[in-house]
Amino acid sequence: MSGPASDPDRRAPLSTEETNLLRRLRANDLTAVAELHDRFAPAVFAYVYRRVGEQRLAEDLTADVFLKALEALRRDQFAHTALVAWLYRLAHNRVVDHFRRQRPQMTLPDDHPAADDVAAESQKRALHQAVRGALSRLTDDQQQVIALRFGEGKTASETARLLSKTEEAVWALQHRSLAALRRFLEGR
Amino acid sequence: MSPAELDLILEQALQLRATGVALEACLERFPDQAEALRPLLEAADLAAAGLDAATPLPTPDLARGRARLLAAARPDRSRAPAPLWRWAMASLVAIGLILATGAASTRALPGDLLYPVKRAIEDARFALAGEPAAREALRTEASGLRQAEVEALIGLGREASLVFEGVVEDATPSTLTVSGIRIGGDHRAEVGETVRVGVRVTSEGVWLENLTRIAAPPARPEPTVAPETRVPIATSTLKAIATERSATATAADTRFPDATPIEATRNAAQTPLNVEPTAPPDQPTTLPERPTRAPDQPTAVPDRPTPEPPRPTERPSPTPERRSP
Repeated sequence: MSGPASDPDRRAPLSTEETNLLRRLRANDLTAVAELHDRFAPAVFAYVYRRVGEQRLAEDLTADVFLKALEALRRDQFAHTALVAWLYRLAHNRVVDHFRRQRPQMTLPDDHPAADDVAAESQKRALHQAVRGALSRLTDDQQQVIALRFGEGKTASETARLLSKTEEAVWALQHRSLAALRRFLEGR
Repeated sequence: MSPAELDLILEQALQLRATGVALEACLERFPDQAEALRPLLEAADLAAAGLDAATPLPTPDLARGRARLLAAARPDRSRAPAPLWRWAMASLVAIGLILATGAASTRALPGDLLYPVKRAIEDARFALAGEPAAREALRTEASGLRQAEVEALIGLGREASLVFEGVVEDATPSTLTVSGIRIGGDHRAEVGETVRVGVRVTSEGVWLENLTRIAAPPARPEPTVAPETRVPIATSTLKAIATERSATATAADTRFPDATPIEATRNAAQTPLNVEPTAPPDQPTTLPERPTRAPDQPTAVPDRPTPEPPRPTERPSPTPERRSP
């Protein structure tokens, strides 16, 4: 694994509102469960969809993420960080698990298009497959920083908060991640 | 350039790209690092394209997932823990049963269903008693209970086996007294020894089945119970037995003509403690059919026969203490 480990001291703190929601979730308050889903499911779906590229699959994986979250809350296995950061982490794990069960396609086809020439739908699908295949070969932290920064459009500062890292650590991590992604896309 | 400086310049270049600055224009801003930055910025573009970042998200159908989540969150009544009052009720019933069983077991006699419970409670109390004085008090209490059980069994005419521990308070070659209970049967136990005895209680008396030494007598062997304070089998019980026996003229009296009888009380002068066998080991002890009376101190039940221990040949005993012929 490359990159510094997550720093517990840099975890995004829970807001008062999140703390209250968490307390109600632990009490198995159904309205709290519904609120958790309604507030965060769109963001989780977006993250998952960017990774897998299929709407139905992304919806199913998103549902899995929330079921996993509910199970973790019942076991008191909450990471004590901002709920969105925790859910992104669960979503990442679910996506990685999904790709592990599939045979990833590691390299671009011979006639792969340039980044600025992805108009044709077939070429676009090929690019998606190639990038997602290469991403799956990165470390967990590298996958997450690429997904958050270039899939979700998060800033380095936001990414640092979600990954419980310093901003400088995210700069270094994205540098290594892009270098590795390039190597894998080139088939090395 | 240090790696950290290149990390920072890459971040600045990425921010420029995010604001719409073209790749070449961006690289022109960092001419010294352009060669290193180009593959990284291209990889970032590929990542964004591969992750479809520029494409608007489809409108997801999240209702299915929401319904699944709420269904999973609903408490399952079949798996839900029982309400507190139900646990409390069950506990009360269990405690009541235990107490009732314990109380009922105190009256149990050997052979009764609850007798093992009674003995288990005694054992538990003994195990929990830490102080030697407390243990001694429990031993005394247990001795009294065994005596009462033997009396009750004899009074009821019920036969049963019984195992108990105690100190040998009195001994002749063919009788011994343990915890106040007179037992017929050959043995080698000595006064003062702590023994575990298995006995058979019959309407005719208490017979030794087996005996195990647990502890040797103290350095100065003395009677653990003074003769005048010994508690023999209740006279009333023995009277009742004797009455029954004399009325029916049981054959038991003649079955064991040479056995030592169990007496209602024991005269220290008549059968001294630590007495040596009166007959050589190779000869069976021959005793009168009725108990021998001391000239100056009659037995408590002088006119009535008392149970006699059986002869070894007629009533084989598993005792390891039986003398060799």
